Amino acid sequence: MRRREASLAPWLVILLIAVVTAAIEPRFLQPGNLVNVLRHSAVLAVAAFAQTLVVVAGEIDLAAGSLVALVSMVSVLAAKASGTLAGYAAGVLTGAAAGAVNGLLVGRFQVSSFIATVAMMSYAYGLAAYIGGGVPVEFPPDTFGWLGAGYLGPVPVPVVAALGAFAFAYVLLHRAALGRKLLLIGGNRRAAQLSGVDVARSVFWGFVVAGALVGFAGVMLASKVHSGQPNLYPTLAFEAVGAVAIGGIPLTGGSGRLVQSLAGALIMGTLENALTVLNFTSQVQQMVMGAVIVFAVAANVALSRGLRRPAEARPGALGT
Amino acid sequence: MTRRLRELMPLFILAVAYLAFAPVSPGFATAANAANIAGQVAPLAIVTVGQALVLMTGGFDISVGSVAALTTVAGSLSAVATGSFASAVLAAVLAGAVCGAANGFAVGYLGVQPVVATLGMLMFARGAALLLSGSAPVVGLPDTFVSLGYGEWLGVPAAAWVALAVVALMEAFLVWSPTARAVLAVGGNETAARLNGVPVRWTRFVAYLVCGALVGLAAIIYAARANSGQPTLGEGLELDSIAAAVIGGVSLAGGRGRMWGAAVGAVVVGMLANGLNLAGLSPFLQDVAAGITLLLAVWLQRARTPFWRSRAFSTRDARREVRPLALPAERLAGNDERS
Repeated sequence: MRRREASLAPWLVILLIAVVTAAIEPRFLQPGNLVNVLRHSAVLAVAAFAQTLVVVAGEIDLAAGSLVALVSMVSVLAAKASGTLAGYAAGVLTGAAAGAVNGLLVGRFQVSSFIATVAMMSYAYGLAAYIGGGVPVEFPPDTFGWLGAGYLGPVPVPVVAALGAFAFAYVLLHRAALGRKLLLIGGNRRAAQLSGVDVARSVFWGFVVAGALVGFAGVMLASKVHSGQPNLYPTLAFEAVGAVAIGGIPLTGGSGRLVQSLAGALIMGTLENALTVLNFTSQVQQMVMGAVIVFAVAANVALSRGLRRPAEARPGALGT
Repeated sequence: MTRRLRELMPLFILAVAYLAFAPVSPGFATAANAANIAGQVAPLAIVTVGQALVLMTGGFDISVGSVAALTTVAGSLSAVATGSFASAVLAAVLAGAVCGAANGFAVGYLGVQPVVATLGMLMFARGAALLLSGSAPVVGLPDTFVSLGYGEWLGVPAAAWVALAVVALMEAFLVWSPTARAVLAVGGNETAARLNGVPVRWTRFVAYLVCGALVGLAAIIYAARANSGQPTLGEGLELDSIAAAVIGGVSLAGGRGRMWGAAVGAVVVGMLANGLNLAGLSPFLQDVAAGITLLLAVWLQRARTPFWRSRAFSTRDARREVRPLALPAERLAGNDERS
């Protein structure tokens, strides 16, 4: 029962933000604005799903910010050369390839994921700037904008795309062997190894899938701004880690539901929109988001300490 | 490798990098360029020894770039308002110490993972820097800044003297002060440190605080060299400082490292940028090179430290969380993989 309460908390936070904002500024509740919230959260949500796959294994991916920039450049160049679909595919493949590099370094060569992905952050940005000579590439085919800015009836395509990514990541994390293995590795790496999990291989595939999802987020972004930009969304990785942490998933790995990341991304999206509606400047927004991430995680740590206390007193519990 | 040899490794890397660049980069191996590198590297070296102190506790500080931006703006604003150089230094160092204290409080006392705590500060400080400066560089600094940024004493840039003094102080601090020895103890084996009466939380707090204050000091040099307070300063500084510290032999898993080694690592990183620049490499490809350098540096260290043991993502308390999925095996192996 406590677990259900804990998993409900993020949704209550969204409700709280919405109620407070609506009380001050009723415009927040207009249907157009609510759709806006979803549309803006979509990219962050997809990046947060990618991050979740990595975080449950006890690793972290800080490269998403420059990776989406590289993906946007490659995707737009490919779309210009051979059409929209080729552009989308090239973007996702670029993400997966970068994920494979991370996965090899972390899984096979046992470089800490922090270092491997910070290095990736640096060279992905360098490559993104290099292939375009430091300037954006523009004018992909008109159809290229469908994924990021189109509508299916009243529903924005990016929201549908994010739901699709959710379903994909959900099946992988909670219904497939790979997800189980990643959770097991995050819970206790040695135990995973002893029970026959090929840790290096699982971590590798976790990073590849995460990279492909980041690639997808990058394509959504590129499609939204209708260009490839070397400085597309530099803080994406940080916000994705923030969303995962706010959703209540411990960054130490071993546990986490994908729906928590969804809630975390929605909290950040709602908060950002609320601050915009309330006329705060982007600088103040950034400050508030930074503070909120730390406080949310601190509250989470305090909560889990409180929940753990009875377990510690249990006779026979092992530990240092 | 013996410990003594290992500690000399950074100097060896420095020599190899120097000899590699000398023939291919025109104008690299000259006295003027050496002074140039020294001036460029000075602020990075100061940030790196701060970062090294945090790394030694087994943590990370990825907010150094944003904090540098915030403190360079704070220092410049204070200098413009009062016309006094001393007040600028005071404002920057104080602002940096406050940011560092916030990081240290979150990590040490609230049990937030270093990555998340400093990530929050990364966003907060960047926003604050842009807000304080109105998103434009702060100009009109007193002349003292110019002499700090470009003055020389005995043929060595003034900024380099400052960095040298800071590194020497921090090395002495590390060798003689009980607090700094506690830093190494906490990073080496937290449980053992606590059982021996080391105040673990306080030690973490102090490490982040000192790192923040040093970033503030470096920010004054950045302001002096740009002759303005740039709110966009410091992108990639976390990468550079961590790479420099690792090249300098500071262990990412915590518990090991020397301050002078970290400073030599900063010189290697600065020399690399300078050498690649003189060799005519595109600045964008220099970012690619920086990433690869970091990986190589870690690779060099890997033989000595298994990196999956890095403690950067876990505070002790968080690690002991109940993990339902792994329970049966955990009972066999013990809760803690390192126990």
